[in-house]
Amino acid sequence: MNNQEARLILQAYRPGGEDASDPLFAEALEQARRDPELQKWFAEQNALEARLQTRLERAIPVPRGLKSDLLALRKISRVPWWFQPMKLAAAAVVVLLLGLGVFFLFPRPQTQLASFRETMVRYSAQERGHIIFESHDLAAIQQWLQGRGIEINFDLPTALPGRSTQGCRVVDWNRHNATMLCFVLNGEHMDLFVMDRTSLPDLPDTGLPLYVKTGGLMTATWSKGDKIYLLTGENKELLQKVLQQTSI
Amino acid sequence: MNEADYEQEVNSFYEGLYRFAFSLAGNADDACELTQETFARLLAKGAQVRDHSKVKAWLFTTVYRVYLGWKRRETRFPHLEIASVENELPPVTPETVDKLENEAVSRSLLELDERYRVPLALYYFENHSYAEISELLDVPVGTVMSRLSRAKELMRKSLAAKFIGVERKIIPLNPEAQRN
Repeated sequence: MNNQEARLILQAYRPGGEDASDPLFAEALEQARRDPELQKWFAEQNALEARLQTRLERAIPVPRGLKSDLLALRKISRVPWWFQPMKLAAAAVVVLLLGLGVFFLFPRPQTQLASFRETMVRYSAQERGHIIFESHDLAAIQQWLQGRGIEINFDLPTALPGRSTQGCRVVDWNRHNATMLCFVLNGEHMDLFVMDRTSLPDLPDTGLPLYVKTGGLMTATWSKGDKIYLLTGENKELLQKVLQQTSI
Repeated sequence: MNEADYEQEVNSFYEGLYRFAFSLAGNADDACELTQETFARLLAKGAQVRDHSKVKAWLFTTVYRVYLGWKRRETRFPHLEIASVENELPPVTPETVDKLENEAVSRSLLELDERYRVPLALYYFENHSYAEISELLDVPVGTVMSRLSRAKELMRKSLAAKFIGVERKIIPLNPEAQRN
Protein backbone atom coordinates (compact mmCIF):
# COMPACT_ATOMS: atom_id res chain seq x y z
CA MET A 1 0.00 0.00 0.00
CA ASN A 2 1.44 3.36 -0.96
CA ASN A 3 0.72 6.64 0.80
CA GLN A 4 -1.88 7.71 -1.74
CA GLU A 5 -3.90 4.54 -1.17
CA ALA A 6 -3.45 4.90 2.58
CA ARG A 7 -4.74 8.49 2.44
CA LEU A 8 -7.83 7.45 0.51
CA ILE A 9 -8.68 4.87 3.14
CA LEU A 10 -7.83 7.09 6.08
CA GLN A 11 -10.17 9.79 4.76
CA ALA A 12 -13.02 7.51 5.88
CA TYR A 13 -11.54 7.05 9.34
CA ARG A 14 -13.78 8.62 11.97
CA PRO A 15 -11.95 11.12 14.14
CA GLY A 16 -13.38 9.69 17.35
CA GLY A 17 -11.34 6.51 16.94
CA GLU A 18 -14.34 4.18 16.50
CA ASP A 19 -12.63 2.53 13.53
CA ALA A 20 -9.38 1.70 15.30
CA SER A 21 -10.13 -2.02 15.38
CA ASP A 22 -11.61 -2.22 11.90
CA PRO A 23 -9.38 -4.51 9.79
CA LEU A 24 -9.93 -2.30 6.74
CA PHE A 25 -7.95 0.48 8.35
CA ALA A 26 -5.28 -1.73 9.92
CA GLU A 27 -2.81 -1.61 7.04
CA ALA A 28 -3.30 2.11 6.39
CA LEU A 29 -2.85 2.89 10.10
CA GLU A 30 0.29 0.78 10.13
CA GLN A 31 1.54 2.68 7.11
CA ALA A 32 0.90 5.97 8.93
CA ARG A 33 2.85 4.72 11.94
CA ARG A 34 5.80 3.89 9.73
CA ASP A 35 5.77 7.05 7.61
CA PRO A 36 6.26 10.33 9.58
CA GLU A 37 4.89 12.45 6.77
CA LEU A 38 1.74 10.35 6.49
CA GLN A 39 1.45 10.31 10.26
CA LYS A 40 1.60 14.11 10.39
CA TRP A 41 -1.00 14.38 7.65
CA PHE A 42 -3.26 11.89 9.45
CA ALA A 43 -3.00 13.75 12.78
CA GLU A 44 -3.90 17.04 11.05
CA GLN A 45 -6.78 15.33 9.30
CA ASN A 46 -8.19 13.97 12.52
CA ALA A 47 -7.94 17.33 14.25
CA LEU A 48 -9.58 19.11 11.35
CA GLU A 49 -12.35 16.55 10.99
CA ALA A 50 -13.16 16.70 14.70
CA ARG A 51 -13.33 20.49 14.49
CA LEU A 52 -15.43 20.43 11.34
CA GLN A 53 -17.86 18.00 12.91
CA THR A 54 -18.32 20.32 15.87
CA ARG A 55 -18.62 23.41 13.71
CA LEU A 56 -21.15 21.82 11.40
CA GLU A 57 -23.30 20.82 14.35
CA ARG A 58 -23.14 24.39 15.56
CA ALA A 59 -23.76 25.74 12.06
CA ILE A 60 -26.91 23.66 11.65
CA PRO A 61 -28.81 24.24 14.89
CA VAL A 62 -31.73 21.98 15.56
CA PRO A 63 -34.97 23.96 15.91
CA ARG A 64 -36.00 24.27 19.53
CA GLY A 65 -39.51 22.90 19.10
CA LEU A 66 -38.61 19.94 16.92
CA LYS A 67 -38.21 17.43 19.70
CA SER A 68 -41.56 18.22 21.27
CA ASP A 69 -43.16 18.09 17.82
CA LEU A 70 -41.69 14.64 17.27
CA LEU A 71 -42.85 13.42 20.67
CA ALA A 72 -46.29 14.85 19.98
CA LEU A 73 -46.51 12.59 16.92
CA ARG A 74 -47.21 9.75 19.35
CA LYS A 75 -50.59 11.24 20.19
CA ILE A 76 -51.44 11.99 16.58
CA SER A 77 -50.50 8.55 15.38
CA ARG A 78 -52.41 6.60 17.98
CA VAL A 79 -54.55 4.58 15.64
CA PRO A 80 -57.76 3.14 17.02
CA TRP A 81 -57.26 -0.58 17.33
CA TRP A 82 -60.00 -1.27 14.82
CA PHE A 83 -57.95 0.59 12.20
CA GLN A 84 -54.99 -1.71 12.76
CA PRO A 85 -55.21 -4.69 10.43
CA MET A 86 -53.46 -7.17 12.72
CA LYS A 87 -55.51 -6.25 15.75
CA LEU A 88 -58.68 -6.13 13.70
CA ALA A 89 -57.96 -9.61 12.36
CA ALA A 90 -57.23 -10.89 15.87
CA ALA A 91 -60.45 -9.35 17.15
CA ALA A 92 -62.37 -10.94 14.29
CA VAL A 93 -60.96 -14.35 15.17
CA VAL A 94 -61.89 -13.90 18.83
CA VAL A 95 -65.41 -12.83 17.91
CA LEU A 96 -65.74 -15.76 15.53
CA LEU A 97 -64.56 -18.24 18.15
CA LEU A 98 -66.86 -16.75 20.77
CA GLY A 99 -69.69 -16.85 18.28
CA LEU A 100 -69.03 -20.48 17.47
CA GLY A 101 -68.76 -21.28 21.16
CA VAL A 102 -72.04 -19.61 21.93
CA PHE A 103 -73.66 -21.24 18.92
CA PHE A 104 -72.61 -24.76 19.84
CA LEU A 105 -72.68 -24.57 23.61
CA PHE A 106 -75.71 -22.34 24.08
CA PRO A 107 -78.06 -22.48 21.14
CA ARG A 108 -79.55 -19.06 20.87
CA PRO A 109 -83.28 -19.95 20.92
CA GLN A 110 -82.85 -21.93 24.10
CA THR A 111 -80.84 -19.14 25.67
CA GLN A 112 -83.50 -16.61 24.81
CA LEU A 113 -86.30 -18.88 25.87
CA ALA A 114 -84.54 -19.78 29.09
CA SER A 115 -83.95 -16.11 29.78
CA PHE A 116 -87.57 -15.30 29.06
CA ARG A 117 -88.71 -18.18 31.26
CA GLU A 118 -86.49 -17.27 34.17
CA THR A 119 -87.49 -13.64 34.04
CA MET A 120 -91.19 -14.45 33.96
CA VAL A 121 -90.84 -16.89 36.84
CA ARG A 122 -89.32 -14.12 38.92
CA TYR A 123 -92.32 -11.91 38.18
CA SER A 124 -94.57 -14.80 39.00
CA ALA A 125 -92.87 -15.44 42.35
CA GLN A 126 -92.92 -11.77 43.24
CA GLU A 127 -95.38 -11.15 46.07
CA ARG A 128 -95.20 -7.41 46.48
CA GLY A 129 -96.57 -5.59 43.46
CA HIS A 130 -97.40 -8.90 41.89
CA ILE A 131 -100.17 -7.30 39.89
CA ILE A 132 -100.75 -3.66 39.13
CA PHE A 133 -104.35 -3.73 38.04
CA GLU A 134 -106.65 -5.85 40.20
CA SER A 135 -109.90 -7.07 38.72
CA HIS A 136 -111.90 -10.24 38.23
CA ASP A 137 -113.44 -8.72 35.16
CA LEU A 138 -111.59 -9.78 32.09
CA ALA A 139 -113.18 -7.00 30.05
CA ALA A 140 -111.90 -4.40 32.50
CA ILE A 141 -108.48 -5.96 32.35
CA GLN A 142 -108.54 -5.83 28.57
CA GLN A 143 -109.55 -2.20 28.68
CA TRP A 144 -106.73 -1.39 31.09
CA LEU A 145 -104.24 -3.12 28.82
CA GLN A 146 -105.57 -1.36 25.73
CA GLY A 147 -105.09 1.91 27.51
CA ARG A 148 -101.38 1.06 27.67
CA GLY A 149 -101.13 0.19 24.02
CA ILE A 150 -101.14 -3.56 24.59
CA GLU A 151 -102.83 -5.68 21.96
CA ILE A 152 -105.24 -8.14 23.53
CA ASN A 153 -105.74 -10.44 20.58
CA PHE A 154 -104.49 -13.47 22.47
CA ASP A 155 -106.22 -16.75 23.19
CA LEU A 156 -106.65 -17.58 26.85
CA PRO A 157 -106.67 -21.22 27.82
CA THR A 158 -110.28 -22.21 28.01
CA ALA A 159 -109.76 -23.74 31.44
CA LEU A 160 -109.11 -20.30 32.86
CA PRO A 161 -112.54 -18.80 33.31
CA GLY A 162 -112.98 -15.09 33.65
CA ARG A 163 -113.88 -15.21 37.32
CA SER A 164 -110.58 -16.81 38.19
CA THR A 165 -108.73 -13.76 36.94
CA GLN A 166 -107.11 -11.69 39.69
CA GLY A 167 -105.59 -8.89 37.72
CA CYS A 168 -102.71 -8.02 35.43
CA ARG A 169 -99.59 -6.03 34.85
CA VAL A 170 -97.19 -5.38 32.00
CA VAL A 171 -93.66 -6.65 32.50
CA ASP A 172 -90.49 -6.23 30.54
CA TRP A 173 -88.25 -8.74 28.94
CA ASN A 174 -85.29 -7.40 26.99
CA ARG A 175 -87.24 -4.26 26.15
CA HIS A 176 -90.22 -6.26 24.97
CA ASN A 177 -93.54 -5.94 26.69
CA ALA A 178 -95.11 -9.06 28.06
CA THR A 179 -98.59 -9.10 29.51
CA MET A 180 -98.99 -10.94 32.78
CA LEU A 181 -102.42 -12.24 33.78
CA CYS A 182 -102.82 -13.64 37.25
CA PHE A 183 -105.29 -16.47 37.95
CA VAL A 184 -106.33 -18.46 40.97
CA LEU A 185 -108.12 -21.65 39.99
CA ASN A 186 -109.33 -24.04 42.68
CA GLY A 187 -107.00 -22.38 45.12
CA GLU A 188 -104.02 -22.79 42.83
CA HIS A 189 -102.10 -19.73 41.76
CA MET A 190 -101.06 -19.45 38.13
CA ASP A 191 -99.72 -16.66 35.95
CA LEU A 192 -100.00 -16.46 32.21
CA PHE A 193 -97.50 -14.36 30.26
CA VAL A 194 -98.18 -13.36 26.67
CA MET A 195 -95.67 -11.76 24.38
CA ASP A 196 -95.41 -11.11 20.66
CA ARG A 197 -93.88 -14.03 18.83
CA THR A 198 -91.51 -11.67 17.05
CA SER A 199 -89.82 -10.89 20.35
CA LEU A 200 -88.56 -14.46 20.47
CA PRO A 201 -88.09 -15.28 16.78
CA ASP A 202 -85.98 -18.39 17.20
CA LEU A 203 -88.38 -20.20 19.48
CA PRO A 204 -88.65 -23.80 18.25
CA ASP A 205 -92.13 -24.49 16.99
CA THR A 206 -92.83 -27.86 18.63
CA GLY A 207 -96.59 -27.59 18.48
CA LEU A 208 -96.73 -28.87 22.06
CA PRO A 209 -96.23 -27.09 25.38
CA LEU A 210 -92.71 -27.30 26.65
CA TYR A 211 -92.60 -28.04 30.36
CA VAL A 212 -89.58 -26.85 32.27
CA LYS A 213 -89.18 -26.33 36.00
CA THR A 214 -87.41 -23.07 36.76
CA GLY A 215 -86.82 -21.25 40.01
CA GLY A 216 -89.10 -23.53 42.02
CA LEU A 217 -92.02 -23.18 39.61
CA MET A 218 -93.19 -25.30 36.74
CA THR A 219 -93.55 -23.55 33.41
CA ALA A 220 -95.29 -24.47 30.19
CA THR A 221 -94.36 -22.58 27.05
CA TRP A 222 -96.04 -22.69 23.69
CA SER A 223 -96.70 -20.47 20.72
CA LYS A 224 -99.86 -19.85 18.84
CA GLY A 225 -100.41 -17.42 16.02
CA ASP A 226 -98.22 -14.40 16.52
CA LYS A 227 -97.99 -14.87 20.29
CA ILE A 228 -95.85 -16.80 22.69
CA TYR A 229 -97.43 -18.00 25.91
CA LEU A 230 -95.85 -19.01 29.18
CA LEU A 231 -97.84 -20.41 32.06
CA THR A 232 -96.41 -20.78 35.54
CA GLY A 233 -97.76 -22.88 38.37
CA GLU A 234 -96.88 -25.07 41.33
CA ASN A 235 -96.60 -28.29 39.40
CA LYS A 236 -96.76 -29.90 36.02
CA GLU A 237 -100.05 -31.72 36.65
CA LEU A 238 -101.82 -28.50 37.35
CA LEU A 239 -100.53 -26.91 34.17
CA GLN A 240 -101.29 -30.00 32.12
CA LYS A 241 -104.82 -30.04 33.43
CA VAL A 242 -105.34 -26.45 32.38
CA LEU A 243 -103.79 -26.92 28.99
CA GLN A 244 -105.55 -30.19 28.15
CA GLN A 245 -108.66 -28.27 27.52
CA THR A 246 -106.93 -25.76 25.29
CA SER A 247 -106.18 -26.28 21.63
CA ILE A 248 -102.62 -25.27 21.03
CA MET B 1 -43.11 0.31 19.16
CA ASN B 2 -44.22 1.51 22.55
CA GLU B 3 -44.09 5.15 23.64
CA ALA B 4 -41.04 4.74 25.84
CA ASP B 5 -39.03 3.13 23.04
CA TYR B 6 -40.11 5.83 20.63
CA GLU B 7 -39.06 8.58 23.03
CA GLN B 8 -35.70 6.91 23.43
CA GLU B 9 -35.18 6.81 19.66
CA VAL B 10 -36.16 10.47 19.35
CA ASN B 11 -33.72 11.43 22.08
CA SER B 12 -30.94 9.40 20.52
CA PHE B 13 -31.22 10.37 16.89
CA TYR B 14 -33.38 13.38 16.20
CA GLU B 15 -30.56 15.92 16.16
CA GLY B 16 -28.33 13.94 13.82
CA LEU B 17 -31.27 13.05 11.64
CA TYR B 18 -32.37 16.67 11.40
CA ARG B 19 -28.88 17.82 10.43
CA PHE B 20 -28.65 15.11 7.81
CA ALA B 21 -32.08 16.14 6.52
CA PHE B 22 -30.88 19.74 6.44
CA SER B 23 -27.86 18.72 4.39
CA LEU B 24 -30.23 17.06 1.93
CA ALA B 25 -32.91 19.70 1.76
CA GLY B 26 -30.82 22.81 2.30
CA ASN B 27 -33.31 24.61 4.51
CA ALA B 28 -34.78 24.26 7.98
CA ASP B 29 -38.43 23.93 7.00
CA ASP B 30 -37.90 21.01 4.67
CA ALA B 31 -35.44 19.44 7.10
CA CYS B 32 -38.08 19.55 9.85
CA GLU B 33 -40.64 18.07 7.50
CA LEU B 34 -38.28 15.29 6.47
CA THR B 35 -37.45 14.53 10.10
CA GLN B 36 -41.08 14.48 11.15
CA GLU B 37 -42.09 12.33 8.21
CA THR B 38 -39.36 9.86 9.10
CA PHE B 39 -40.33 9.60 12.76
CA ALA B 40 -44.00 9.34 11.80
CA ARG B 41 -43.05 6.34 9.67
CA LEU B 42 -41.14 4.89 12.59
CA LEU B 43 -44.30 5.12 14.69
CA ALA B 44 -46.37 3.53 11.99
CA LYS B 45 -43.92 0.79 11.10
CA GLY B 46 -41.98 0.53 14.32
CA ALA B 47 -42.97 -3.10 14.73
CA GLN B 48 -40.79 -3.88 11.70
CA VAL B 49 -37.74 -2.45 13.47
CA ARG B 50 -37.66 -4.51 16.63
CA ASP B 51 -33.89 -4.54 16.94
CA HIS B 52 -32.91 -1.28 18.63
CA SER B 53 -29.44 -1.43 17.06
CA LYS B 54 -31.02 -1.15 13.60
CA VAL B 55 -33.16 1.87 14.31
CA LYS B 56 -30.41 4.34 13.48
CA ALA B 57 -29.77 2.80 10.05
CA TRP B 58 -33.52 2.56 9.45
CA LEU B 59 -34.07 6.23 10.28
CA PHE B 60 -31.28 7.53 8.08
CA THR B 61 -32.20 5.25 5.20
CA THR B 62 -35.82 6.32 5.49
CA VAL B 63 -35.11 10.04 5.59
CA TYR B 64 -32.94 9.66 2.51
CA ARG B 65 -35.64 7.71 0.68
CA VAL B 66 -38.28 10.26 1.61
CA TYR B 67 -36.01 12.96 0.25
CA LEU B 68 -35.45 11.03 -2.98
CA GLY B 69 -39.22 10.66 -3.27
CA TRP B 70 -39.59 14.42 -3.01
CA LYS B 71 -36.97 14.91 -5.68
CA ARG B 72 -38.80 12.61 -8.06
CA ARG B 73 -41.94 14.65 -7.71
CA GLU B 74 -40.30 17.96 -8.29
CA THR B 75 -36.90 19.44 -8.71
CA ARG B 76 -36.78 21.23 -5.41
CA PHE B 77 -33.09 21.44 -5.03
CA PRO B 78 -31.25 21.92 -8.31
CA HIS B 79 -27.75 20.56 -8.32
CA LEU B 80 -25.02 23.10 -8.14
CA GLU B 81 -21.34 22.64 -8.21
CA ILE B 82 -18.62 25.03 -7.39
CA ALA B 83 -16.74 25.95 -10.49
CA SER B 84 -13.07 25.52 -10.18
CA VAL B 85 -11.11 28.70 -9.85
CA GLU B 86 -7.77 27.21 -9.31
CA ASN B 87 -6.22 29.94 -7.30
CA GLU B 88 -3.81 29.01 -4.67
CA LEU B 89 -6.00 28.52 -1.65
CA PRO B 90 -4.63 28.45 1.88
CA PRO B 91 -4.73 25.13 3.72
CA VAL B 92 -7.73 24.68 5.96
CA THR B 93 -6.86 24.23 9.60
CA PRO B 94 -9.00 23.98 12.74
CA GLU B 95 -8.24 27.65 13.35
CA THR B 96 -9.51 28.54 9.88
CA VAL B 97 -12.71 26.68 10.60
CA ASP B 98 -13.14 28.49 13.90
CA LYS B 99 -12.90 31.89 12.23
CA LEU B 100 -15.63 31.19 9.70
CA GLU B 101 -19.23 32.16 10.25
CA ASN B 102 -21.74 29.38 10.86
CA GLU B 103 -23.50 30.20 7.63
CA ALA B 104 -20.28 29.85 5.64
CA VAL B 105 -19.55 26.47 7.22
CA SER B 106 -22.99 25.09 6.49
CA ARG B 107 -22.97 26.52 2.97
CA SER B 108 -19.69 24.80 2.21
CA LEU B 109 -21.46 21.52 2.84
CA LEU B 110 -24.73 22.42 1.15
CA GLU B 111 -23.03 23.60 -2.02
CA LEU B 112 -21.53 20.22 -2.67
CA ASP B 113 -23.05 18.04 -5.28
CA GLU B 114 -25.40 15.50 -3.75
CA ARG B 115 -23.14 12.57 -4.61
CA TYR B 116 -20.56 13.99 -2.23
CA ARG B 117 -22.80 15.84 0.18
CA VAL B 118 -24.86 12.85 1.27
CA PRO B 119 -22.04 10.52 2.34
CA LEU B 120 -20.17 13.40 3.93
CA ALA B 121 -23.22 14.48 5.93
CA LEU B 122 -23.71 10.89 7.10
CA TYR B 123 -20.04 10.81 8.10
CA TYR B 124 -20.30 14.01 10.11
CA PHE B 125 -23.78 13.58 11.61
CA GLU B 126 -24.30 10.62 13.89
CA ASN B 127 -20.82 9.43 13.04
CA HIS B 128 -21.69 6.84 10.42
CA SER B 129 -18.93 4.44 9.42
CA TYR B 130 -18.00 3.87 5.79
CA ALA B 131 -19.71 0.44 6.02
CA GLU B 132 -22.94 1.98 7.34
CA ILE B 133 -22.86 4.64 4.62
CA SER B 134 -22.30 1.94 2.02
CA GLU B 135 -25.29 -0.03 3.24
CA LEU B 136 -27.46 3.02 3.66
CA LEU B 137 -26.80 4.41 0.21
CA ASP B 138 -26.53 0.98 -1.37
CA VAL B 139 -23.19 1.75 -3.01
CA PRO B 140 -19.94 -0.23 -2.81
CA VAL B 141 -17.47 0.50 -0.02
CA GLY B 142 -14.87 1.66 -2.56
CA THR B 143 -17.30 4.23 -3.91
CA VAL B 144 -17.98 5.51 -0.40
CA MET B 145 -14.24 5.89 0.18
CA SER B 146 -13.64 7.82 -3.01
CA ARG B 147 -16.72 10.01 -2.53
CA LEU B 148 -15.78 10.85 1.05
CA SER B 149 -12.28 11.73 -0.07
CA ARG B 150 -13.52 13.90 -2.91
CA ALA B 151 -16.21 15.47 -0.73
CA LYS B 152 -13.68 16.50 1.89
CA GLU B 153 -11.41 17.95 -0.70
CA LEU B 154 -14.21 19.99 -2.26
CA MET B 155 -15.48 21.18 1.08
CA ARG B 156 -12.05 22.32 2.18
CA LYS B 157 -11.59 24.26 -1.02
CA SER B 158 -14.92 25.90 -0.43
CA LEU B 159 -14.03 26.71 3.19
CA ALA B 160 -10.69 28.13 2.13
CA ALA B 161 -12.33 30.27 -0.54
CA LYS B 162 -14.82 31.62 1.94
CA PHE B 163 -12.04 32.28 4.42
CA ILE B 164 -10.11 34.48 2.04
CA GLY B 165 -13.30 36.06 0.77
CA VAL B 166 -13.21 34.60 -2.68
CA GLU B 167 -16.79 33.89 -3.54
CA ARG B 168 -16.59 31.30 -6.19
CA LYS B 169 -18.91 31.30 -9.09
CA ILE B 170 -21.66 28.73 -8.76
CA ILE B 171 -22.91 27.08 -11.90
CA PRO B 172 -25.43 24.31 -12.42
CA LEU B 173 -23.89 20.91 -12.73
CA ASN B 174 -24.36 19.72 -16.28
CA PRO B 175 -26.34 16.49 -16.77
CA GLU B 176 -23.33 14.66 -18.21
CA ALA B 177 -21.34 15.37 -15.09
CA GLN B 178 -24.21 14.16 -12.87
CA ARG B 179 -24.14 10.76 -14.51
CA ASN B 180 -20.46 10.23 -13.76
